[in-house]
Amino acid sequence: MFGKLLAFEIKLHTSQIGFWVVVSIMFILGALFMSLDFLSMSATGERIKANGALTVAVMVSFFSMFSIFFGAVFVVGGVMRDQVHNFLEITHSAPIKTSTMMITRMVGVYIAVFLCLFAFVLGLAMGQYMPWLATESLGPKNLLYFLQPTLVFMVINALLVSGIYTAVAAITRNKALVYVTAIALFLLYMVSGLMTTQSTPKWVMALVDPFGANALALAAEFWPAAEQNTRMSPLGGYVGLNRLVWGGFAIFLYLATFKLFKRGLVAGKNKNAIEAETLSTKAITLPTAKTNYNTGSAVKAFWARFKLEYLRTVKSIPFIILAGLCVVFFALIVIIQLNFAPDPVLPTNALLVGMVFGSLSLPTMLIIIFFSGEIIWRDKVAGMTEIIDASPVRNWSLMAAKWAALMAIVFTIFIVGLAFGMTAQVFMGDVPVNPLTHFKFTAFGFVPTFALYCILVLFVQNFMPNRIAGMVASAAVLIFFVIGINFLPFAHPLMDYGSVPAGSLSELNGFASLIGFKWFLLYWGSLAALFAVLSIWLWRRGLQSSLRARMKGLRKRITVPSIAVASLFLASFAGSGAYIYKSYNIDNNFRTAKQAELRRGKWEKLLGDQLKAPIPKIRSVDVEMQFSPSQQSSVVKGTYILENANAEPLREVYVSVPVSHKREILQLDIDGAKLVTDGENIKDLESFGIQLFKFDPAFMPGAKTTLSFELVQSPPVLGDGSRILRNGTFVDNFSSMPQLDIRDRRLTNPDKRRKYGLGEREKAPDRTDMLARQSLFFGRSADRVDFKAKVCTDIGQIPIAPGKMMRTYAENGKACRDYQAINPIMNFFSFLSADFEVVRSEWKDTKGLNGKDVDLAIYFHHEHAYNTELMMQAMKDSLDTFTEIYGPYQYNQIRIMEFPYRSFAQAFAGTIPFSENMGFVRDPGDPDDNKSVDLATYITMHEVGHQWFGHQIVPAYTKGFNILSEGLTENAAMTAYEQKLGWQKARRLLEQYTIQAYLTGRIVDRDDEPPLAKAEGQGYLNYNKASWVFWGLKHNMGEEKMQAAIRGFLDEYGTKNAPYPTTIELVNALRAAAPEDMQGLITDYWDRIVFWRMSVGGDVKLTGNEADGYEVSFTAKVDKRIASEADGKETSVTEIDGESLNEWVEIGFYDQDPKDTLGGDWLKLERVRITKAETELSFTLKQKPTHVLLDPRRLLIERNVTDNVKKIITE
Amino acid sequence: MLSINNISKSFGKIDALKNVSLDLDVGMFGLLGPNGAGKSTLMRTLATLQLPDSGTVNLNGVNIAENPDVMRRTLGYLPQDFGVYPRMSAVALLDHLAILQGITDNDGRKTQVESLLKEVNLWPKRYSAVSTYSGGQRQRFGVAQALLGDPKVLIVDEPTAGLDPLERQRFLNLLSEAAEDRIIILSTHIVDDVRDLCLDMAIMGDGEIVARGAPEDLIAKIDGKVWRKQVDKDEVEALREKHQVLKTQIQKGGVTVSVLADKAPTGSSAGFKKSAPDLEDAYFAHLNRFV
Ligand SMILES: Nc1ncnc2c1ncn2[C@@H]1O[C@H](COP(=O)(O)OP(=O)(O)OP(=O)(O)O)[C@@H](O)[C@H]1O
Ligand SMILES: [Mg+2]
Repeated sequence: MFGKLLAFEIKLHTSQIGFWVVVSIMFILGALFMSLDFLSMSATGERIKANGALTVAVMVSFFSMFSIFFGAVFVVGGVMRDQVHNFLEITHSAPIKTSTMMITRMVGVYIAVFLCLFAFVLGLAMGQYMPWLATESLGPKNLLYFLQPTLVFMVINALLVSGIYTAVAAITRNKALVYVTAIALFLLYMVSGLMTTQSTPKWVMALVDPFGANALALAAEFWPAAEQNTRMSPLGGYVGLNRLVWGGFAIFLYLATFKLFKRGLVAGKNKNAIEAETLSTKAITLPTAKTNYNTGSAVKAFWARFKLEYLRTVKSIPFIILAGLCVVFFALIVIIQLNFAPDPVLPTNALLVGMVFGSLSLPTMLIIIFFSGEIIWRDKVAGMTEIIDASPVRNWSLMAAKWAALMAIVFTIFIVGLAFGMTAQVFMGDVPVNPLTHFKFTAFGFVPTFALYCILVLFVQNFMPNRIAGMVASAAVLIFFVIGINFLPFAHPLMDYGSVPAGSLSELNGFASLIGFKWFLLYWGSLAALFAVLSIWLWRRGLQSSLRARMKGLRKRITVPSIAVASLFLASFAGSGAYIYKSYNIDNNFRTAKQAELRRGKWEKLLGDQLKAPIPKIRSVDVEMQFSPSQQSSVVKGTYILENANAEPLREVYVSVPVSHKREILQLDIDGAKLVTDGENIKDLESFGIQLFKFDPAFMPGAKTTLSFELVQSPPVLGDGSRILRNGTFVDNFSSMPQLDIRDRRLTNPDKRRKYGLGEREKAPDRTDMLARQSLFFGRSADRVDFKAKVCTDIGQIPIAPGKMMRTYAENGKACRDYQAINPIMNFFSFLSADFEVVRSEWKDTKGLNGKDVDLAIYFHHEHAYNTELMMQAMKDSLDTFTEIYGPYQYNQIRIMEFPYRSFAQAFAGTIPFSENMGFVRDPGDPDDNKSVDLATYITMHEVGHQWFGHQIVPAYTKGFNILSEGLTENAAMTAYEQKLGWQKARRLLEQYTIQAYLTGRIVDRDDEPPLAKAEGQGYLNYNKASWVFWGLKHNMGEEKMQAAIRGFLDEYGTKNAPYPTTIELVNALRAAAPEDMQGLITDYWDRIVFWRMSVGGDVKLTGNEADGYEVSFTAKVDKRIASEADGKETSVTEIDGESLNEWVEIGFYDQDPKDTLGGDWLKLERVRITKAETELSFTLKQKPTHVLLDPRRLLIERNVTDNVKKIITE
Repeated sequence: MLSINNISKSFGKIDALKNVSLDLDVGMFGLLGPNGAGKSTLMRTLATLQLPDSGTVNLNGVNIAENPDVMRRTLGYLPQDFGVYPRMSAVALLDHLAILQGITDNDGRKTQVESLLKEVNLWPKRYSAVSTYSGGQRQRFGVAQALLGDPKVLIVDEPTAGLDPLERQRFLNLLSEAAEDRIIILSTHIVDDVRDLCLDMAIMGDGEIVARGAPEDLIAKIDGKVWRKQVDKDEVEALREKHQVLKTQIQKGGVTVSVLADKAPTGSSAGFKKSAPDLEDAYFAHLNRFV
């Protein structure tokens, strides 16, 4: 009986088209995700293989999530099918045992869900054989890599999903609630994803994701490529815990459902049936009422329908649950972001409204998908079609009401979100609410896009045969337009339905430009209006409403006025589309992702050689920058004095001009050289913004000449923005003035290079290349330059450039300032203009280390005064620390200026542009709380540090160059931060950022990881590993010794001309200062990639008493492993000839869990030399310890430190 | 004046309507036929809910396929089977439907909704959700909504199904009153409904109109040809083979068989008595195409 029934159930599912559609989709997805590297969920390519063990496991666990959606449909079709087909009364009285019936249905659903998921695994496996998959991306094919995660993840996940839905279905007997559960599950999944970026406890992270993807990510945290390719998901640990809990929950649900499910009908309530019926037998007389059928009554019908559709929806349980979920989701995001985030920010208006919509977007899309189905199919589902469709109501009244209702529902959610956002802001109390910001953000950033999404989804419903198909199709189109389209190599904004770009919202400048917004609104709005007309034509009326029947009847519905309206919309759609296309592709330089890549290949062939060709050097810069913020335009005029510093004469020079159009070059002349206007490559060169000049006679070594220029930055047009903003302009010389060394535009991704046949990219020059050491890292076209600038802007704004401010004056109705560098600066400067508020202060050279006081100023937006005092103090503290350790500061002033949109701060000579999203709105946290991280202070210290490292020490452009800039600056900032706030707070920052960023950065890099001293563009090395290494080194060799070595290095190479220094000189200086027993450590830190592994083996023994002291003994397990540059494969030094273990290891003893003190407050800190893999150690302590911790200060590079600590168990 | 000309309608292989033609005038028209005869299909076509494959329907000379509004504006329609929005009271739903009918005047609508609910005896339950009504109560609600807006054409598909005898009577009374200046089409397979009310009727079978006329005319056609006899259960089969059996009614003590014949059956089946034909006899006679 059971077997037969089960076979019946399975047949029932497998005979549905829907089932096969899902199976095919999952299969295709699997094949695509395996074979297309841009889809893959890991950074697959030559290093991380597409079919590596972990890559496959991650996808298998992640894609289980899809069962959320089809699982719900299967449960409604399988477990609930009686209710759905009003068959309940018949089958439930059939002579089958309830238990058998229930079990077979549940198992049937489970099998259906599992099969669909398994199709994905099959797809993945098939994907390995796709012809377009590069052989370099494939590792050995191993069936086990596919089967193991299927068992560990899918088998359980399918059980969980079907269990949850079955329970809801059986208990509530309400279809809608099953779908609501689906959405809730999905949101839970999103929240779990959100948590991974935050400092939530790891076991919470591991547990909160029901599908195990989080747990797997945690278990495989920091696995390098070599391990990702060959190590399968661990079965214990986080994964085991997660699987056990959710698997257990699934089984519990099955049992509970099985128990709870009762046969028969659920009684409905009837609240209002109080009055008794009094029957009268008298004849009925028909009352009369006037009817009319004019437009007024159609509008009235629309309004009545709209009210009905809207109120029915917002009062329905699914909506209330979903809206509640939105609010919970938002609250969670706010709480996590403001409390658990490692880098908390202040709840500013822009941030809060951003969070509201960040959290609402996804739930709102789900609401659109769900309720579009509910609303469109409402009459059909209720059984009212015949009555309504036989009434004289106009089609448009019915349709417009449904469409308007869906939009009104979305707006309701928005309004609720806004209200919650503003209320939350009021409660937090830090920042006054500015409703206009909230409103603007919503109105421009979200309303149009979501209205367009609503219309698209409603339009799609016209072509769908039923509600479920409608929802699936809606989800598909939304996913495509929201996410999918960005993956298409040929994507054009004209294809990105619903995208009406307003750009991001700044509290300084509002939206940068709304031109694109207006045109795209017209373009998509016209299409949406056209959809509306088509939908009226295709409206389902009556009983025979198949698409075919409606198409047949189309002729009758197409009336002259409707044709006229449709043509109007079509014309404005096509017209605005054509105009946008012309603006983007013809008048300006829009390129698709693919075209851009091809172009970079072309650039390399045309100009790759020029990256090394000799060029003149700029010796001085004299520039006049005229900003017109109100027009969003500027004119920059100036001269460079050039010198031929090469040994040979120059015959030509390539000048790269940062303008979008040639007409924006008003003047470009070089004395003694002629612009080449025709020749074979001239057109191509021009397309890359390059003008070729030929010297005749040649430009002789040691000779000087002048380059003069005048360039325009035009106001924004459709297809091309302007760098000049109404308030808060920030441009640097690379983006506004002619350049003599052309920017390197070669493709860097090795997998992409292979694809376009570009061969291996030439790396930065070796550190011993003396020619390379002639050029500094900002470019070959200058050493330091004399700098003079006049900057003018609209009255009311302050114009700023680097250098000493010489004069403030008004000229031609503009506010102008003259700046002049008191000593030569890098050929790297910025121009800013905004309506600034200013705070000023002065750093006093009290110790006489600097020779002069330094003027300090912060220029900021008036609403952003929260941290200005703190940042001012950070500048002073930095100057205290740095002048003491590294020597004098070279300029007269430091100024910080706020700028909008982008999120970084940058150090120019004595001038620091600082984004409004960074320090100004960071929550610095409690200075006494060691767990909080004060980024406002830290970033300020970092940028001030650059004045020494980057502006005094100027590296040569060779391998490792950025260590001398960013790496040394990180060390300087950490030093100042530690001095100001204590070592525990510094260690917190190290763990939270630096270590995390290094360990994750190295595994997502598609290129090889060089040893630290030879780093190139890798931020995870230049900033993070460098910072970690300096931290480790200073605590190993002694802070003073190390800083003195850096000071010596700076004294030798700072503020000097070529040859510029490299990491060889730095490391030599460190070696010279370090004792003999640290030399090996320096090699490990700088010249190779090393990971230590430490743990406490076995139990810790404790003997003794308070009077005599305590003796602690335990086994320390220590290993040092050398990682390969290519894929991070680690080999223990015990297995390498000529290597040995000989390490300094610190051991801390605590009388409390060191986790609570962040490794601080030890009873005793010991340092031992370890030479064996396992070493018996014993120590005597005065106080009684409870914990032992290896390497409490994280001086050694180690991936996993959870096993470094041991609790001491006393007998 | 509603004239149906040669309309046909098929669903795949099923011919639900075959060349149906009818001219209807003011008054009550009964449509009698067994399950699946095509009654509802015809009515839905008249109610503009589906289009005929061929043929035309004209209301006062206007083709309703081309101009469905002409029909919809004067139509009251009670479908054979309908549902309602859950959690919506009778007053609210009726008011809502009245607006869709074009009754935009608020006061007029209110009085009409009130009186209709009173007329169909739902007034005491007006604030209860219609979805919680009993089958008969819901049917009464359906009747009320069909009467909204004073329709000149009233199409009611098996309106008496589920009504208790008292309500059925009241409803039929109402219809006959209303029929004075309206076209009313009523479908049923209950012969009595038609006999009591309709001056004009048609019998439908297999998608065709097999007979059309006043009930008494249809009866007249078989006057003097109906013979009845009470027999044993097991004799019925034999009789069916030999005679045009109209109907068999199980009664106390046996089965009464009615046959259609010009003369009294003889031989083994002797003993039939001539009886006065009723509409039911006429219905079966026409449906089985004995006449
Ligand atoms: N939408 C449809 N799709 C397919 N077949 C249909 C459809 N509507 C009606 N039919 C078929 O047309 C035939 C006539 O159906 P109709 O509903 O008109 O009968 P009826 O006379 O109203 O019967 P009843 O007395 O049972 O209501 C039946 O065979 C039915 O199955
Ligand atoms: Mg019917």
